[in-house]
This record gives sequence, structure tokens and C-alpha cells, in this order.
Amino acid sequence: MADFAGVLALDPQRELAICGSLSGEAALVSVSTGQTVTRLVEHPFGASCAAWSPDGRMCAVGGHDSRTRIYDREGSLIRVLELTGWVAALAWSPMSNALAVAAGRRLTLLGDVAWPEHHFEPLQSTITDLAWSENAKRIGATCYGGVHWYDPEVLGDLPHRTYPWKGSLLSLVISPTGKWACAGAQDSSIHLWKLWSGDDLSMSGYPSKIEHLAFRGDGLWMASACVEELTLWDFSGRGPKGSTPAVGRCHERHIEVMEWMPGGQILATGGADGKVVLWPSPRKQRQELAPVAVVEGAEAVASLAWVDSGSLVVGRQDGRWERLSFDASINAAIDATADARGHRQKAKSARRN
Amino acid sequence: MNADEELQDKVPVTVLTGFLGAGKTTLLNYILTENHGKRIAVIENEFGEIGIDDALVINAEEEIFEMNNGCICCTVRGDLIRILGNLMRRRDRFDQILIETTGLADPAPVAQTFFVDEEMKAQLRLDAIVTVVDAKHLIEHLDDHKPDGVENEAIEQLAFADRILLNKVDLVTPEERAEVERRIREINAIAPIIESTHAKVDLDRILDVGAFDLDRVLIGDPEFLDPEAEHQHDLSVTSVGIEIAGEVDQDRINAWLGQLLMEKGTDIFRSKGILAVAGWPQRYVFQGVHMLMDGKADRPWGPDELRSSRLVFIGRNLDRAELEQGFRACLTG
Repeated sequence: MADFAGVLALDPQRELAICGSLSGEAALVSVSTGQTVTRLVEHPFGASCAAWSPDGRMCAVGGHDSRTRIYDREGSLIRVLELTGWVAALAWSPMSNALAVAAGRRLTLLGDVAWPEHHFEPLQSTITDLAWSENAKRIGATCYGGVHWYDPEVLGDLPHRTYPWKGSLLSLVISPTGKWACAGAQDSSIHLWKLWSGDDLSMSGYPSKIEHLAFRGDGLWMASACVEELTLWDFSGRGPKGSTPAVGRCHERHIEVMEWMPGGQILATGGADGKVVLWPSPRKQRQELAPVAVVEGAEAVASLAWVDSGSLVVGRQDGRWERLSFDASINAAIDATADARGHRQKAKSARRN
Repeated sequence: MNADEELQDKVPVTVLTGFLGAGKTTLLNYILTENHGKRIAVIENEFGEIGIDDALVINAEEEIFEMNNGCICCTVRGDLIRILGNLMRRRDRFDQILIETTGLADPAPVAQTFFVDEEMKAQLRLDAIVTVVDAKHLIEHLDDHKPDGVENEAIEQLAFADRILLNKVDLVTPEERAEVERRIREINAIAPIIESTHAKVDLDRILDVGAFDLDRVLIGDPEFLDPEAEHQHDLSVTSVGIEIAGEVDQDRINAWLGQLLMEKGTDIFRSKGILAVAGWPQRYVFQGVHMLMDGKADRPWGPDELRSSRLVFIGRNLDRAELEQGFRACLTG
């Protein structure tokens, strides 16, 4: 592609990738061969985000042209949604029966029955991120002023509930346990809400804004990237309050993207320094993580996604896509993580007995 | 990378302000159509007036956020953070960025955006705030009485300016032009005034001029240091320049400036200074917008150079005597 290869989404089967760039190109690409299967419709001013439905039957691509297009697996266009403002985020419900689209200040929900679209009232500022609760009962949207929770069954005009925060929120994740909503903020902090009580807390002390958050699949650790440093918070038990995070330092410039390997044994980060770094899952708080593998690159990393436990697809600033495969060193790290989890499990069992 | 290379590596950003009808759009059209050899990305606020093929023109919808950092006047433009973040991914497409603000905009949130976002600070440098004014109607706008608590945007835009483009000079007599310049100087005593008709101007005088470059703070400063130059005292927005021979004590000047900006930061729109700090072989230079300040050690003092400190404040209800007294109290000895 001709420009910043920043849009990447792999289907659940890891067979097809949506690849898009800031030049506006978008395509379905075979993960195994790297060949373009279908060229998708271009987005003038750039593609901004993409997502597969969890059942892998459909995908959606959003752009800076305010349009969202929904395709089937063959790349046939099913629907075009034209809104106002950049499409900042797309999120399929865990049941694959609804697609949430954030464009400008407004959240729009597409349901699966003849695809009716529901436009909620615009929020006070531009929506920056979206996330569904694991049970698909709520969809959260972040913007300046807080996290807004919508009920996809009741719909209506307004959020079902708002968790206020006087500040600009940039990213949102819901813990896989369903207990926590975590938002990265412009004011160099992460703000957390306990979803069962609504209580909130902040984790501050970061040197800059927080744009990237990612929970491990079991919800016990949450990674945050700020400038060139990786920080991992322990969400086991009563959560991270009062805890000290594990940290990873290897990047020399901003971390641009990160993703946990399915299974959660390894976290991959990609940076503006061109590096792709693989990190082991932390074993304890305060741990200084040592990278499992580092792949250098001349161009900044714009996107990345795990294909399997041994390889990643990476998009770079100059529009190139590449597949990185890793050797046995990462398997050793995976085994070590599995051992650590096994020990922890045994220790818990022993305590119970 | 040394400091000069680091500076060159950052993309200069020009902020274009000006009251409605002053000629901002004409200037933008001129910049976008003139064959000047510069690759400029434009972030514009008002829709529909410019349609230039192949130019990187992005529409923005002003979103002002209060920063949650304890600074009461610290507001930033959230939309700019998003747009500029995206724009920098296309770094190879342009050499400069121009941000147009709406005719009624307060320039402070735009300028402050470049102080508070680390990522933007690392990649971009605020080059200058350029204010376009209409020679024919400026005085009318300056004298426009606003209800209590409502800012006169024309005055604020002049107060924030690093360069003032006095446009439509062909529509006024030499006497009227002199009066307009006098009124501008009452508010902003230091920004160079560039005259133009139909907003035609040598772009090297307004783009990439380094007005926010700390190395160039107060270079070529005109008469602002002369207390007698503050012709009027009935104006609420004025410039105060102070120069004092001798060295200041680092702890005292830090404490005084910190306290001053904390207490009066809302009223102090811009501050600039070059300080001779006791024990420092180099000059210390700083720039500020409201409560936010950026400073660094500059070139060494020359062996025969008189060590003196200069400060300038532009703001509302400034008390020269109080400022000078506070400044003098920071002198060593």
C-alpha cells in the first residue's frame, strides 16, 4: 500500500486480514499467502479502523470520509453507512448480532434484523473509543467527560448510564471478567470504574497520554503503553489499587500498537522506532520484564496482529506489510508462562486444601 | 541529534487568527494557490470556502477541553490533538502546518495544545501566532463594548499575536493607518506589523519565522521596554516590558514567576523573557501562554556583554509597578 499501513484486523479463523492504509486503500488479504483476495472500496482521506464479527461472517471498515462499509467474507459489499465525522471506532457485539460505530460525537448501532440503524443523541464531544461488555448487554463509549454506557436492547436517545470524569478519555477496554472499565486519558492517567459498584479510581504518574490498553484474555493483567514504556497492572483479586505494576523497557520511541497472543502467554508491541518486541506475561507485580524477542525495522510499526503462537502480521509506516515468524525462544517463554500459571493454580489448590 | 537538528526535525505550525472579515480566508487562498514551493497542510475551521485540488486541507470542528491538571486556564483543542496526530503519520507529504481558527476564537487553547501534549511537543513546534486585522474596521472592533464577562476577541487575538498582518491598508489614509498602528501597539508592543492589501504578503515573513523559538525570544524587540511607550492606561489589555541590569537569583525568580503565573495566569496572555541567572554561564530564555511556560538555557553570555534580564508580559489589567517590584526583588545582592 502507498501509505501508513495502520488498519489491520484478522478474522477469528486467522485466514483473512483486512488491510487498510491512510491513503484510503483497503483489501481482504490471505494470511497464509499474503495475496490480495479482494480489493475493497477506497476511503478518500484514509481508512481509519476495521473489525471482524466474532463469528467471522462479516467485516466492517471505517474511514475518515465518514463512511462505514460492511462486507461478507468474499468482500461483497452488504451495506454502506454514511455519518458525520471521522469513523473513530467500530465494535461488533460478542454475539455478532450488532455493530457499534463511533463517528464524530454520535454512536450508531446497527442491529441484525434487516439491519435497522439506531442513532443515539450526539455526545458533548467526539467519541474516541468503543467497547462491548463481555455479555453484550452494554456498549461503552469514551469521550471528553466520561464513559457513556448504552443499552443495545432498550436503545432510546441517551446513554443508559454515564461514568463521569472531568478529562479527555482516549481509549477504553472492559475486563474479560466484566468487572472493570478502564479508560486511558489525555491527562497522563488511566481511570478505572468498578462496574459492579460504580466506584472509580485513577492510576497516574505516567509521563504522557494513554492511548493503548489491552487486557490479557483471562483478565488478570492489563497492559498500558505510554511513550516508550510498557506497564502491566495486576487485576487479580480486588484489582490494582495500591499495587505496583510490572514494567517493560525496550522501545526507544513511542509504542504505537500492542496485542496479546491468543492464550495470553506473550504480548507483542510495535513502536515508532520500528521495533516489534515480544514480552512474556508477568509473573508478579514490580517485575522488570525482559523481552523474549526483538525484531528491528527501519520503518515505524503502524499495526500488528497475531496469526498463531509463532507469527505476527505487521503493517509499517511506509505501507508495507510483513509476516514475522519466531523461533523456539518464544515457545520457551510460553512454556515458562504456562509453568508459572500451573504453579499458581497448584498453590491456590493447596491453600484451599 | 543536537538542539538545532532537533528543532529542524520538528514540523513548524503557524496559527492563523483574525476577526471575521479581516482577510484570513483570502490569505489562506493565497497561500494555497501561490506558487511558493512550500508544502503546507492546512487545518481549517470554516467549511466550504476553499476547494483546492491536491492540497492537504482538513476541516476541524473546534472542541475545547479543560485539562485536568489543576491549571484553571489550561484549555486545549482536543480536535487538533487528533487531527495533528493523524497528520504526522503522513509526515512526508508536507513541510509546514497552518491552523486557521474561527473569527471568534480565543487563540489560547490552540497555543496551549502545543505545550501540554508530549507527543505533539516531540514532533511539532509552534512557530508563530499570526493575526490578520482589517485596517479599515479594526478600531471599530477594538472599541466594541462587550457585556461584562464577555471577551473582546479582536483584542485577545492582537494580544496573542507574534506577527500582525495589517490587511486592507489600501482602504485607509496614511493618518488612519498610523492611528490603527498606534492602537495595535497599545495592546501588543512587540509583534512586528506587516502591511498588506488583499492579504498578499511575502510568506517568509509569516511562515517558519520561529517566533516561538526560544532562541529568538525578544530578538529585535522594539520600544516595548520603554515605560513611557505605554501610552494609555485606560485599556485593560496592554504590554509591559521590563529590563533590569544585573543577575537574578534562580530560586527567587522561579518562585516569583511560578506564583505570578499561578495567581495572574488567567490575565497574562503571553510572557517572554531572557534572564541572566546568577551562576549560569548561559542566558535562560522562556515563553509562556497563560500559566504554561517553556524555558531552557540558551547561548552563553559574551565576555563583554552586559548581563541583564528582560521580561515582557501581554495581558489584562497588568500593573507595571507591581511587576517591576516583583522582578527587582529577584535580583541578587
